[in-house]
Amino acid sequence: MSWPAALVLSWIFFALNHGLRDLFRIGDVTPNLVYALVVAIGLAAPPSAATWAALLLGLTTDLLDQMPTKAGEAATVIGPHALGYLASMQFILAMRPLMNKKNPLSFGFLALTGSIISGVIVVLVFTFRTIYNDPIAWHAKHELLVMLGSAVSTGIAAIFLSLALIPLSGFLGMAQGGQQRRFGKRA
Amino acid sequence: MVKSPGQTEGARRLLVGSVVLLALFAILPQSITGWTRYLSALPRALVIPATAPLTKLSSWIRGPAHHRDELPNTQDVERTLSEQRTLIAQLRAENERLLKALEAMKVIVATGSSAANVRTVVAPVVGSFSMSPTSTIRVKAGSSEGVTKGSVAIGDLSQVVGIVTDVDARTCTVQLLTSKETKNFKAAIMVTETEILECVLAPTSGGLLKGDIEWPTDPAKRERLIPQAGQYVRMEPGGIWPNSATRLVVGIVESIEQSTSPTGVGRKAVVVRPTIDPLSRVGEVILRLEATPDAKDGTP
Repeated sequence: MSWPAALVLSWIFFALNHGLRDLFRIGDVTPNLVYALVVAIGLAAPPSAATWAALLLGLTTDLLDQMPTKAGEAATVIGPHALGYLASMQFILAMRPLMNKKNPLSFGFLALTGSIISGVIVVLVFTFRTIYNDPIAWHAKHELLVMLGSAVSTGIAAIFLSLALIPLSGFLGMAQGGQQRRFGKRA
Repeated sequence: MVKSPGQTEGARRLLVGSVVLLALFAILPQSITGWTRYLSALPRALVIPATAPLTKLSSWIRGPAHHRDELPNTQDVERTLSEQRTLIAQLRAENERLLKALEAMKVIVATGSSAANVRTVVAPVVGSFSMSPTSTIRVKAGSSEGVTKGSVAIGDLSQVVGIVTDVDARTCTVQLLTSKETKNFKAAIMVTETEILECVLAPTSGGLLKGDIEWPTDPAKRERLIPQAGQYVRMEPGGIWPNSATRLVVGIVESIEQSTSPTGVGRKAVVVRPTIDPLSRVGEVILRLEATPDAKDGTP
């Protein structure tokens, strides 16, 4: 996988995710466009690179998406999305031999299920933090519903984004031939 | 985790270590990991500028109605701000008025006017007859509330408004202090808080009161006590005015003039303007009712 190309594409997707968030917002539910990129990487990149990519994309999401505290301030919590993306990437890697990588519906399905796995981990982590009276404002039931809604909208968005992401596999250096040559030498 | 065929043992350890570290960061309290907010500065600096045109695009597509729900209208904010400023100004004015009233009450207490036997009734003014030969106001409080002829009506800052001249069960008529029918009465110019110059005031045109100053016989006192514009003038006991009117405010010295009365040649006269000007515009009065009225049949 071409890491510089992945970096550029990540920057574009984070910008799209933050810039178009209000456009697709329904109540508190917004699609996670970055997760479509996670699915694209998960479907095409070598497992090791895909795992690290998921971890780094999740970490960047943690750094960008600040959480509101009860005092009305913004707090950064590192970890929940990184762990969530990592866990869901394992699911994608396990599922990808069964998927048609050129079919947008595969993107949609993996984005939906992967988002749910990732979202459940995020909700679990923040709910765990409430045990010791964490200052972050958190309502587990509400957040779980928002996460499910967000997963559905992410799945739908991924179907459309896959129309751009499937051709971009080559730009990412994830074509099967090159991929085998590059990582094959290290084995 | 799915093990990649190309993954070395070192890379695998690094990944496991990263996961453990992230798990720790995820569950540690904010008091320990609070510093991590500084780490978000770099990705935010890289991403946020790129989101600006997209945010504008989404705002343009969704239209202003979407944002109206989230952000308050600028005009609404300005209107609220204006209302709050008006409220603050009104509260300040009210505060100043109450402070003045407090000061006035302090002076009454300091100069010995006793209010021990006085009961007060607050009543609205229901009619004003300033154009009639006798300037009067109609007040919605009568004998059923204990109002009697000779009761004193006051307004803000203990300003004497007038004296009750007629009473029925529900209402009473108050003859204004500045009415032409009001007889001369003794007053005191408060040169200092404790030292006074006496004068005898009578209503003149324009809602003012005027009268000759009675200078003290002591030359030293005469030198020291100089009446000036802005000094308070208060009621002195005597005449038709009940004791409960003593030291209530008659007005503020408007000017010091040469006396024009036949008996006051060469003397000085004081012109006094009530603090409520004109008195006929008062909206509410406080009727001071004495437990043992001393001016039941008093008429000004």
